[in-house]
Amino acid sequence: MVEVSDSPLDSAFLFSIEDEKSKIFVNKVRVDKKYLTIFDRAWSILTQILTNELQLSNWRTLTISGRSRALSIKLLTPYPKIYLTLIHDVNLDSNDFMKILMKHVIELGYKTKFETVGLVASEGYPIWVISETQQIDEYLFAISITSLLTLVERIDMEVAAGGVSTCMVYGNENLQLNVAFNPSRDLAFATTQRISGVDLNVDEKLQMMYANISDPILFNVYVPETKNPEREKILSELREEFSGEITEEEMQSLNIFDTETLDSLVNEIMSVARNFGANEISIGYLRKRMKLPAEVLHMALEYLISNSAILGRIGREKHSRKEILVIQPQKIRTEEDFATIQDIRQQVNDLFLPLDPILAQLPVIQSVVETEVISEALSEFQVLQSLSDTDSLFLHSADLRILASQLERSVMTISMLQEQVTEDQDNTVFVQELKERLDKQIEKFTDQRSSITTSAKKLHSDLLNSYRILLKLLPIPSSIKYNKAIDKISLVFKCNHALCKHFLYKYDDAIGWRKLIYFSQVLTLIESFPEGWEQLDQEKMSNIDLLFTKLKQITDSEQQITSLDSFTFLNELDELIVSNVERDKMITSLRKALDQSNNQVDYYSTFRQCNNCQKWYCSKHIRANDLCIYC
Amino acid sequence: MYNSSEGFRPVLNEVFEQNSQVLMISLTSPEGLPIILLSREGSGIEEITDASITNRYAALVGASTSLGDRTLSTLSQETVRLIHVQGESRDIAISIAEKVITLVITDPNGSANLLAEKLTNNLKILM
Repeated sequence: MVEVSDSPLDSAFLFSIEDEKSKIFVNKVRVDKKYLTIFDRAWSILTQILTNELQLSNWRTLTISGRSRALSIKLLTPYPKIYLTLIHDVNLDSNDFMKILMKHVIELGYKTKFETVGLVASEGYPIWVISETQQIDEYLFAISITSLLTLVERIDMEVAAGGVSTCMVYGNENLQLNVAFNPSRDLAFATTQRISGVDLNVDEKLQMMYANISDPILFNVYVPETKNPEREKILSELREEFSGEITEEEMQSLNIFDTETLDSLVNEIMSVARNFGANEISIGYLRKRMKLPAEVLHMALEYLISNSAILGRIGREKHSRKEILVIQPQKIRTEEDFATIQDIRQQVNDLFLPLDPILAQLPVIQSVVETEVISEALSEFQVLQSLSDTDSLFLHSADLRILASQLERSVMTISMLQEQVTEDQDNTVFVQELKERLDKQIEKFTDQRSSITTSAKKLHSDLLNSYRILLKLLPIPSSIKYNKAIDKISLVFKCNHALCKHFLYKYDDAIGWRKLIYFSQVLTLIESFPEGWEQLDQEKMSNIDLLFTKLKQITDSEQQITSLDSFTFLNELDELIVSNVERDKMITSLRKALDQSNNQVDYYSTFRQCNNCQKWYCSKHIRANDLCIYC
Repeated sequence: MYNSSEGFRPVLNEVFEQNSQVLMISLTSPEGLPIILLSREGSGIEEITDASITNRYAALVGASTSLGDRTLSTLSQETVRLIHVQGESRDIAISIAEKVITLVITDPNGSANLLAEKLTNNLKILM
């Protein structure tokens, strides 16, 4: 683990504990209270996006990195929810959370309540352990928790307990061990404490529950003498269970060697090999994926290998010595697999790529089911949406304004100095000093000029790139009708196939679409503006044109910089950028337009852009490889 | 299965009736013999006599006890009194006493631990 200094530079820690009703922030360091509200709101929005939009119900770590700072949130225990939030320098490794947490755990008073507190990974190694009242060896603590993890795995398998969140063990001398698992159960947060006396609340609850149980019938346990050999066998097997070790028989009694489990194990291995091109798979990973105890998995793998269901062997990783499954390219089984490979071979040949390395990564070909195709389309949409985020462009535009005002101040200083040199030319010593200052100022001006041109070039290219992505996300309308009075437009989107009559109709604010249409022409995605575009507010359109032309004129040449009358046009530069709000509005209204035509499909799967000519086509006239029927 | 297991039924039935969240109760002798296994089924409370099932639960209780003991003895040389596991779909508790081991499975909010401890306390007096 990396050592973290007591107070990392530029970092702040928040520790938050929340249950269903409330959230408590423990603000230990330099975070102003007013930011807590902002932070809390941002956090709930992000959580909503992560859980609802991206379906990440089990998210554990979230890191947002900026230019110099990053915000990381990590779920430490699921109940009550304990999050550690760190605002840190981007250079600080957020894996150091645990080290920081340890300090906080002590600060929060755990030491007075608990004998031992520790965090253990499911593989059985301790991440950290604090023992205040007794010396507990980290390793011993981890071993004891690992027994518990095996127990939980087994109970979960037998009883289908669902994702186990907590496990508590009470000893006969009032030692209480509480273990909370994170949702993916690869971390166990464990505490031990002594409970002295009787817990009145518990007793009260018990009294309520048992109020109606009275006069229990007295009886004695009677174990009959038996000569039944089958019974003796069961008894001896069960007694072995109490020896403490998990025996092979016990494992077999778990009844996991059914075809279904074995099949899904084979599928898991094959899909890892196929998807990641891996020929070595960590046994620990398989154990987690399959939710099987290590011994059971081991036996299952040996069984599969001995029966040639998997070609490979169990080995050890060279450096870590961890157990791995080394797999060889698997046999091709059916004619269908051959056909699929043939198909891939054809496609790869088309791309003039060498085939063998790719085939080696495809030990078994699995057909892709419909749902996967849909989820791919959706995720592509989500990726495009996140790539078209324009917040950084607004920041860039603001930076450009700051640079411009610095440049203007420099120009003023230079002309003032020049005037003074002319006025005071008799005073040689003074003039000499002025000239020196003038030289320095000119040098500064040159630097500023070069940074403003670099910045303008960057913004210019970022702007065009953002439109390139945006125009993959949003189709270009084929015709426009503009109602100037309410500044709204109605748009028609047509499939670009000559005979296709498929179209989509919508009614919207003009703001975002105006920019989109202008830049689709700049990027020569369309030969001419859509039909009816001249009805758009021409004043606003020409303003976009003017701003963009001026931005392009900020080049390295001094002449061109000075030929720009002033940089005041930069104040309007944001007009060139489609904000995220405008973008989302356009997406939403397109979706709405589809809903109104009683079509439940997302527009993105109804209309798609050809990867070659970049025109939009309806799903009937675009092929699976995203090329239209003309390309 | 013990011949006398019938004697437990009225007590356990009452526990089922009074606590709608209880899904299963299994009693096992410390030697690992299944005593009785009652389960809430659609039609009511049923005693399960299929040896493969009762043995499976007895094995689970046995393994849990030994794994729990291993955990606690590593930490403080103690033996286990109660194991309580909370899952998303089940709440499970195993209470260990001198003469009987009680396994209680309830739905997630059933406080299986409280029931298991109380049952064990009641039953051990009776044995």
